[in-house]
Amino acid sequence: MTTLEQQGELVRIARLLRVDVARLGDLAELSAATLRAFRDQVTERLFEADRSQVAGIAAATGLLPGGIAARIAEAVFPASLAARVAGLLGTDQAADLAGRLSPAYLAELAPHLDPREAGSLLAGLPTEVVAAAARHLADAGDYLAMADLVAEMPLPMVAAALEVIDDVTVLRTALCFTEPARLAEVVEVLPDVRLEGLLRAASVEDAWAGLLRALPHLTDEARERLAASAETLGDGLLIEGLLAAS
Amino acid sequence: MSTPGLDALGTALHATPAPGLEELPDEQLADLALLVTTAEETQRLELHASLDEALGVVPRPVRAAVRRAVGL
Repeated sequence: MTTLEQQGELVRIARLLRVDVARLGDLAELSAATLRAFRDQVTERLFEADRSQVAGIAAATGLLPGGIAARIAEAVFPASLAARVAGLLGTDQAADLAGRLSPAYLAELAPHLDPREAGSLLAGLPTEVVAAAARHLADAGDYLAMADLVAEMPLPMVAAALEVIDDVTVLRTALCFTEPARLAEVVEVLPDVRLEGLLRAASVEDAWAGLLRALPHLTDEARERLAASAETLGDGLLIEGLLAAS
Repeated sequence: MSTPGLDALGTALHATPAPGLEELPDEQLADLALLVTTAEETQRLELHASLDEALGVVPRPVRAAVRRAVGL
């Protein structure tokens, strides 16, 4: 039986290779760590291929007024190509361009960003732009892409960007995080009121698995906050048990 | 250990395949190599098609400069 981590990696690899997961055959037998390493290699290869031409497009983008560049990009560039170009633009230019793109296109583009560049790129964007993209991914039920997007967000942006996302969607997104330690960092920056909402939703939906992945990586302070939030919901015993078990 | 499938995947990735992949049957490795090269080729075709289309809609006054920038 494949684990959650393996399933996530298989879907990510299938997306990169533009094939159905079923096409990957025996790859499902490999460990999540091997799948992750292979995915990184495929990502590297696809980003390096024809790099000089993509860099040329990035340079040409600078010759055009931002509004025109954004219109052309959205009209003729597949999101995967736009993401490669974005990775080669300066941060200010990328932020300016992203601010002119529709949230739907930005949401389509975000999962294709070079993971090595995505963090600094997102840091340059207004929070409301990133939040709008996150909202589109949530509406599309693309929890995997959501997880990858949230994982790359600068932490100060996370709480505000997730404000527009409902609690159940956040819990499902938590299931798709590649790095549980990063998920814990995300949980730690959420305000108490949001933590309470997540605990309530997890209790109502019996959907604890996402939060459970973060628990072993939480700081003592965050664990205390979580316990306090659970206490206010009258679910203190349950969360105490979970914290003790983690 | 080198096998034809592992070599093909290494060529497709331009790198030594990650440890653990050698556990796959050789024909699966060769198939993965094909998937990687096909994805790269699809991406390349997409790039060229997008570039052609973009040049058609770039404002005329900057078209020559844009063509130079993208190496055409």
